[in-house]
Amino acid sequence: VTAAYRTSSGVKVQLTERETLVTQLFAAHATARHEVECVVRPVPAQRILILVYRALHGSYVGKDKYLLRVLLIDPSLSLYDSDVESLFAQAMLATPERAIKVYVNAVTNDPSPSMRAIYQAVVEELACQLPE
Amino acid sequence: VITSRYLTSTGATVLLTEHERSLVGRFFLYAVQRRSAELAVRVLPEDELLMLLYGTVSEHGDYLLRPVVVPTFRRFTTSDIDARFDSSPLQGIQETISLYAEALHDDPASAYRNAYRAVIEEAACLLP
Repeated sequence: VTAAYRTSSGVKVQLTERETLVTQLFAAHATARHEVECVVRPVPAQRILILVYRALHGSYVGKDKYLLRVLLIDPSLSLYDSDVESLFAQAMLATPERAIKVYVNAVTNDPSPSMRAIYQAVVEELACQLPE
Repeated sequence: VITSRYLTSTGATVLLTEHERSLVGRFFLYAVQRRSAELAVRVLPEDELLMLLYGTVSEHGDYLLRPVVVPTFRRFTTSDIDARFDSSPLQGIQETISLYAEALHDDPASAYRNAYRAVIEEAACLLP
């Protein structure tokens, strides 16, 4: 474990060296896309790293309006630059309200209990990203 | 080399290369394990992408969709394929269309915009 971290929902997390490396790799790509990291939450039992980015550009971005992009990454995967780009592109930008709705639906819809737990964690973190 | 032809839900004829057919086949096996059926395959050759659309029926009897967009230049490992499915949460047909339509509007520079359009077109054909 190389880094202690507290997520926006208040959950205390610890990142392994691998998770830290993956977070940094994605952060570099996010910066190039004019996006900023706002959540890192590992779900170690499921080998998933939840990453949420906030867009600083786009047609729905302003002082009070912004878009989020949620990525669910298996940190054990070998990731090349092209993979990171494609994972960003597959995870669509959405308003915080829309993003929460997607993952609330996913908690209900997914047949896998372990995936439901991951999606529930996403919902918790996204809820903290809603505008006040 | 074109090895197979495919008819999507929109009625478009799709030609698959041997590599694309192999990718579709591998993802199909994982979809079956997730109790999902393949609904549409669209090839986006200029973007080097495949749009794969899977469907399942919820406990409440609703039709749910899981679109997956795959780079055709990539060799996928077992865990890669799982990760692609996991990062595409199951949604209703109308929710899927709304989500991708908003993404097209909000992220017009996305390298996947053609794939987003393909998802919308195929999902629209599945509306009751």
